[in-house]
Amino acid sequence: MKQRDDAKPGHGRILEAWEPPDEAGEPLGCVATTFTFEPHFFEEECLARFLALETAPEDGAAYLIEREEKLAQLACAAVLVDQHHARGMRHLRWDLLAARIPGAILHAKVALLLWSRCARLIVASANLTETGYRRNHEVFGVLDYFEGSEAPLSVLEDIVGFLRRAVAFTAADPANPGPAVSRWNIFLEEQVQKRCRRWGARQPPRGLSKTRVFAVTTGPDRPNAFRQLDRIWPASSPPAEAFVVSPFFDPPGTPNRPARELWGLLRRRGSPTVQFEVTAEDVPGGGAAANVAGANAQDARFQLRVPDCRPQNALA
Amino acid sequence: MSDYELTPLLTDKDEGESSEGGLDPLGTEPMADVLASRLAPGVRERQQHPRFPTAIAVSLSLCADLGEEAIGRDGLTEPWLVFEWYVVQGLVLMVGRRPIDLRGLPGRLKAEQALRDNVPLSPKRYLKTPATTGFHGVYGVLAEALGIKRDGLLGEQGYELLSLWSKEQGLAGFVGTGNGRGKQLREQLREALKDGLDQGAVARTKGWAGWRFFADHLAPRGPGRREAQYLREALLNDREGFRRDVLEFLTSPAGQRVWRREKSERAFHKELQKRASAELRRLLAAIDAYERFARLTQNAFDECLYEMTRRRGYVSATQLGHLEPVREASRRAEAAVRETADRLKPFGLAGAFHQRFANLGEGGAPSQWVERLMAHHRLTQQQKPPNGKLPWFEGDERGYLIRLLYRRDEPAARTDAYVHHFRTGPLWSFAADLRMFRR
Repeated sequence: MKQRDDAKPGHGRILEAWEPPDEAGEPLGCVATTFTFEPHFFEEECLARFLALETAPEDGAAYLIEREEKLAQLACAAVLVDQHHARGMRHLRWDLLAARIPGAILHAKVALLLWSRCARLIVASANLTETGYRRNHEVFGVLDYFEGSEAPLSVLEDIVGFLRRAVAFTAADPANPGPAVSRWNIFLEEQVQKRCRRWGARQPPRGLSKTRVFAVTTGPDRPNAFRQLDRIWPASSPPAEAFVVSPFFDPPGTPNRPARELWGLLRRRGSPTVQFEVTAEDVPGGGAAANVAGANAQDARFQLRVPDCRPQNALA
Repeated sequence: MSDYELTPLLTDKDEGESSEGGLDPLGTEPMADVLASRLAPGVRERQQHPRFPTAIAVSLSLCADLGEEAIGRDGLTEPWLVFEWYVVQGLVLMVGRRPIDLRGLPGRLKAEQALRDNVPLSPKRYLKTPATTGFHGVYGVLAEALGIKRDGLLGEQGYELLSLWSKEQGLAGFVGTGNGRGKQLREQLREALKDGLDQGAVARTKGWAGWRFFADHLAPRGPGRREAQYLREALLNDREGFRRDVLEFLTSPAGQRVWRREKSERAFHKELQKRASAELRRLLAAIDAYERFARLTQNAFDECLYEMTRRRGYVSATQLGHLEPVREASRRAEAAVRETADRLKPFGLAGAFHQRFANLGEGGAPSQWVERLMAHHRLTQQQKPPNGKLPWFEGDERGYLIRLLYRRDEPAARTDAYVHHFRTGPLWSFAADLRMFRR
């Protein structure tokens, strides 16, 4: 967990995850996916942190020179954005790719950052926007890969596979994908996969007392997230608790299929709990009103927890 | 090496100070605002309905009952804000039950959202800066100019307006010591206000009978006949500026004709000038000169942004110097600055104008002038409160590169329209509400 003087346990600032850890070395490249996107935020907040710029935009020419020198050294800097949020924006220094998934959207928020001695994988619920990164109530996980790291290599491999599949949705002609897609794929293959071969743990920890991490990625012709979770979780010991950070519920009266699926994963004995973190506020006269459309939120099996009143975006 | 464990985290709020200043890139707005205020004191562009000062009079009167020290449980919320929540929530709540026109009601969207979410208005649910953007903020300056509010209390004219309003609305006892329906309503409102302060939010449910008060007696577009007459006279009674002159001409057949036809303040002022006193003519001439200067520089700046966007790379001052609006500005700026300063002199504004814009009045080749324009923009951004803002473009010896946030996909407007607004719009809206002409 990122340690800061004012850090709350279990909380962190997602922008800080774009900063290189100590001894990470030189920046080599980064790729990211998002649903909604603000290019200026990515360029001036995320990329600037990834590159560890020592100057700021207000430093004028010195900032420009430092940024361009460091960007020029990268094998790839690219963002894959859902097609509905990627129109009309093309940039000089980094690639913006539009994912066109037939009958679906690109909703994944993954960032893979590579420095010469460390790779960092960020899987988050937050879009690459100011609101997503700074204001919403979101969830994110960070895995660091370096010599001696205990982060599971299988996750990195799965995510690299996902990124390769996802970028394929940008090309109208798969045989001739264009230079930006080539840069993306070459970066993953030549840089990430080669460098990270021995960074991280090849074998999962023994026993169930240590934290295990898995990548669950969905997409066309792939099983949904619940099916995959079901497959991963040891059948002999189903989960007793689930936590959901989410503002989105189907309208009242319609079946809440995700909640049912989730409930189906939990153990039947004892007191299994699903905890939803939702936006709510005080109502005069007592109590708190959840800012959700209800659905199964009032079901006795589900517990509503009110963290604070920031907007939320996380799906789960 | 890693700062992170394997388990996921929830995000902390991460409020970086915004370094973006997306308005007024050349810093011409403040002086235009001074000129507009000289022309029509108390009137602001965001105002639309002159009945809000009546609501402010009611607010001042009710809040005075709670005493000067009254404050919400958060130690910050003042009674006027709680009253404002009630007014806005009440009007929005009643709009489904009777025909009320709520266009121009500040905070309306917030109240609609709160109602949809089934929660009351509160500091979290209302406007972020209500003292500026709520109706007390937007219309407070007008209430002061009309004498309705004085030193934060109900002014003499405010008391007159309140008395007249309560009588016309059939609210005997709302003002003074008499008994009647008004007295009961006032007590009902005062209790709601006190409870709202205690709870830090609107403290009445949807079924409260008091909600009708706001729709029945304070709907923004529904002043009574005598109330409208009072507000008309108050607006026309302007001893500091030219509100009367503008309003009288605007509501005259000739003024209506030109405004309806042209919707242009330049055209309207041109006609007004023909009938104006010498003093008003001087002010209109100052506005005209200032706006010619502002349009000249704004067009050049806009065209530069467009060119930088179009070229998608560094653009040199020489390249920008070839743009027609830049060439025109470099040719005419020297004379424009001189003339504007001369016209502003009678109003004591020439010094401030010179201090801010003299650099743009130095002649030179278009490429030199555009460099000064860009330097002027940088300085304007630097001086914005609280700690300065970033310029809209980056630049070094290779030229200028537009920042993504400020890309412009349209060329500059080739027009001589004013860049700024001079209150004709709000005065027209006032006149319509007060039935000063036939719609």
